[in-house]
Amino acid sequence: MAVDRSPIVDRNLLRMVASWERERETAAEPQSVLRACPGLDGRTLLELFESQITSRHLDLIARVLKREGRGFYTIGSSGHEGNVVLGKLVRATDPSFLHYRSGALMVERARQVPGTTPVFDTLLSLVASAEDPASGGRHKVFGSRELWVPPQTSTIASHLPKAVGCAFALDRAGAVDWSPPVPDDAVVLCSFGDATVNHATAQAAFNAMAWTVHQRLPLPLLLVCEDNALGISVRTPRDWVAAALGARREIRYLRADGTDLPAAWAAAREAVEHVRRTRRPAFLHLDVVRLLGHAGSDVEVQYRDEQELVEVEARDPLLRTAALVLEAGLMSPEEVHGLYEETRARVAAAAEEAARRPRLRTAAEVVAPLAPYHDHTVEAEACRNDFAAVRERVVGPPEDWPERSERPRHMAVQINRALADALAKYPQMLVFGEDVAGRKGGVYHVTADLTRKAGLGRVFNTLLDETTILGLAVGAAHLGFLPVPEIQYLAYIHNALDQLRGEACSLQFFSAGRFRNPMVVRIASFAYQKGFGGHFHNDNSVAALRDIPGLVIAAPARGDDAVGMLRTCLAAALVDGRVVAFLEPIALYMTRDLYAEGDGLWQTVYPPLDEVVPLGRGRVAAGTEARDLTLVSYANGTRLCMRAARVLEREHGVGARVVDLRWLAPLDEELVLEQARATGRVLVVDEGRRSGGVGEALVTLLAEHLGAGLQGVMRVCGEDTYLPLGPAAEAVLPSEARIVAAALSLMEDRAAQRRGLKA
Amino acid sequence: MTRVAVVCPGRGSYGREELGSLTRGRPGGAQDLLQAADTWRRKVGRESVTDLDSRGRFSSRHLAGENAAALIFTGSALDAMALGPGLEVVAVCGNSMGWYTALHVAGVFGFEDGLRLADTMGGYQADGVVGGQVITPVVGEDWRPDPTAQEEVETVLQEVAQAGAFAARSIHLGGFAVLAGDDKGIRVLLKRLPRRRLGRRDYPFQLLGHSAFHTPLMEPTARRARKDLADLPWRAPRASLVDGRGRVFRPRTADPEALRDYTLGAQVVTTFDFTTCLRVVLREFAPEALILLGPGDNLGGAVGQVLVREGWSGLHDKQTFLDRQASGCPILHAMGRPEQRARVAARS
Repeated sequence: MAVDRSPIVDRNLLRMVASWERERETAAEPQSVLRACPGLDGRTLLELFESQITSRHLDLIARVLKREGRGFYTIGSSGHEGNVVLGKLVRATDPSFLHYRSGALMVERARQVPGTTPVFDTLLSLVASAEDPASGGRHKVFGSRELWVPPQTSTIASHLPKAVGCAFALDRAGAVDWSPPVPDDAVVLCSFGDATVNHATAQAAFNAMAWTVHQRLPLPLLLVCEDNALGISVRTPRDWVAAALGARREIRYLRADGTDLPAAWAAAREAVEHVRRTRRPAFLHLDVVRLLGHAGSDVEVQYRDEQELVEVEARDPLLRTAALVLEAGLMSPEEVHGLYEETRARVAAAAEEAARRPRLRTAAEVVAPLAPYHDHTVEAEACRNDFAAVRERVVGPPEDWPERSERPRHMAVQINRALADALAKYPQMLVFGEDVAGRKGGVYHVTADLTRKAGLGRVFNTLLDETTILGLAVGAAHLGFLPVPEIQYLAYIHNALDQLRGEACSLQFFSAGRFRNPMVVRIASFAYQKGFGGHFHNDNSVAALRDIPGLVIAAPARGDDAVGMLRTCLAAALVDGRVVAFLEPIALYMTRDLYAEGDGLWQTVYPPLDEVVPLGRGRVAAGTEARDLTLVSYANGTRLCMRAARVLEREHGVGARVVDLRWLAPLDEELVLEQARATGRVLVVDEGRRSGGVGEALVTLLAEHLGAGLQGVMRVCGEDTYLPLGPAAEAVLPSEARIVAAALSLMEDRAAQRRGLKA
Repeated sequence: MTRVAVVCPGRGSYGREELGSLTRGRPGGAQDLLQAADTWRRKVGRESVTDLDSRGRFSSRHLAGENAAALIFTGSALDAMALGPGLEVVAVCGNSMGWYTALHVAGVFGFEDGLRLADTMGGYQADGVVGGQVITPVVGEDWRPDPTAQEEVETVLQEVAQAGAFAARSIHLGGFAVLAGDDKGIRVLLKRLPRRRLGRRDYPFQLLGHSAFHTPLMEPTARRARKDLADLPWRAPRASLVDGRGRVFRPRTADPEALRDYTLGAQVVTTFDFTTCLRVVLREFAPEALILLGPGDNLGGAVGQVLVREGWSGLHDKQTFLDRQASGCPILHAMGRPEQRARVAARS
């Protein structure tokens, strides 16, 4: 049996056309309405057929290019070409998140926007050319700015939550004094396969969708499951998709044979109209076949026998459309043959040209979209304070503006004030999370009263699911909103991390900067809550965030810094599309004192609106003149270091300066090196874990740049453990005493020297 | 079969050099077409194409809208007829009024209906030119895009608006920006656009006798055309057509009504993007060669500039284009040049 089925699938259409003997039913004019296809006229049918054929030839050439070592991707659309109807029925202004079998849909959708070139674009993507307009040679994706198709590189199902988020945000625009760049009646399209339906992330999206509709909130989302009954080689149980999703009260479910254009057309039209008119979701279930295997590398004959393959190939949607076209007399067999071969020639010729186009060569070229950063513009935007009138409405009369008060307050209050100001400054900003709304504003009251100030449309509670929260942020940000989602505790980010790692942070990279999803994710973080809460309320690990390309990680220690940094983060999101993890140290939210009870030294006044902390800029928090030792830390560690420095000085005569990094990414390497050189001894205090923590990066930095030039480098860091409940937590975290002890041992050589001198 | 795309030139492609090119040395078959053109022209009371082409001296008469349109349309149609066997025309496009020729070449109209369309549209200028057109380069001598020049155009267009006048982009023409405006707008453009030299010419300059085509100023003209040409029989094309927005009309699926609406609507009153049009031809049809119909060859530069802009077939500047043209496998065959014409025309 032939392993490569592409010549067979290719020949099938030509054979079918060559042996077409039936008399033409009518010699129909293209504009006549076909009896067999209500609502679908002849011309439209022919257009869809053209797009299906074009998509097929793109699949076939992909395999040729791969064999020749010129192409790098063979997951195709063959058998799924029924999705072409969505290319016609869904508008090019409807944001669409499409999976990798969307060739026919894309070719058809491109008709709606003159000047687009779907054939060449797809080919450029197949050959990984730097000129690929979707990803600049970074992935084979269907994507297009003009066609409102953000490229999906999806880790399977990871694009569903943002589709829900985007649809939610579309109709949220009405509640906000700001409009997204799409028509008012736009809907969101999201497509995926049958195996994807089972993914936890997909289930989260379905649930969020139902949860939203259950509350009678609008959600204009069309989900399309292209069910080819296989997940690579694993069979989907018969009728499973229908069983799983067919009976949800909140979701209009429609099913059609996706290999049969009239059937697919009728169902899709009904689904699109339903979503557009009612602003409620629909689930379009299209039964399709998968031809040519999962990808070129997939040897299908290992799990499908020949009879099955032949049967599946007989259901080729192109054969069915061809039959329809011939039966209606819209084309003669010779014309179909001609169209098929002329398209083959066209695609092949374009492929030759595309294969010659340049590819990415250097690391700098590859990473370019990760760093389109404009620090000065960001700083100017962060300092902008031209919103007094709105501020008066949102925050209150000028006499209540917080910078007018000289009374120092703790960090939670300052962040709350900064968020209120930001809501006034940015009409497109949304604040949401599991428990952020109302007077309470979450466990730590950081968002208290913001709902009253900015309205329930902009500050609202979500369901308890981090995947949904971040998906909502990603989707809303696609439309130009400035989402500030809250994750209740650092430990909780991990069950939704892919929404940051695989989705949010990858968008600018995989779209070569053509799409962006700016956001500032606030996360209550770190330990030291006086033994309260146990691990999941005290998680101190940032390893999973630190290596996400492009992610900004902020970790303020003081209230005034938190304000200045938040302003910068919002500006960086707006100006450069950046994604930010804003780690708020829970234990410092309410901390008032630094050295002694009642000294109030950890409280600050509210910085004026034009005072900001530049991105990636740390500071020397204490001991600017100290010559003996440099302590480098962040968040809780900064305060511990300052206390320890005082002990070192007063009790041991050791002068220590304290560097507060403030940003964990990007790190202020220059400052660390400069401060290390100043004393020659560095103690890194990292409340994160020993493995994968910021401390590792700092020690590496020092070794690479200063190496033997330093007299000593040490770390005090969290142990590689989960945190225990109660006071035992102190045993595995940096403490003032451990810092002092480590500092003294670092100074041991000098002490010895002194002893030697005395002797 | 060689897969080729046919490009139809617009106004300005019949000049002094082209005098006599329609009537001299044409094979027998061409006579019928010329005769049809002459008959039609006389019927509407205009000088015949043969007479115009046979005049001893090139004059403003040849540049007048109604005459230029007929000369160019007829010349291009003659060239299209002369194309040799062995060529498969995969796409047809044109620049500006070359679109009317493209409609004929792609089979939307027979010769006479096509001539009527071109002649009628050009002829409206006999009643007075509306505003004008100015041309200026946006590439350097090497034909690579010059971002500064692009920005200057933007800036000057804004200045026109600030001066209370009207000007807009009329044609994206490869390495050139054709701008159009009302009389005051044209004055500001000519005054404010920086002087540039490209090849042997100085820019900017005004295109004599040209109205402000492809701008909203032509709305009355479009309305008039829809009325005057209401009975023009529109058919689906036999070859793929790419319009001045880059929209593709395919043989079996093109809607004649959409063709009419565009031709007598958006085509007249919105920017004609020849650059995008040719880009779509290249990227979606990947022809092995381009054939520029005559008369004349002065659209060849713009075609070459689009090829360079697209980096098509390894061409990345003027020199690589010229080298390719001088090679055994040129990419552009301009039928207005005898040596290039010989490669693609049928032997008579």
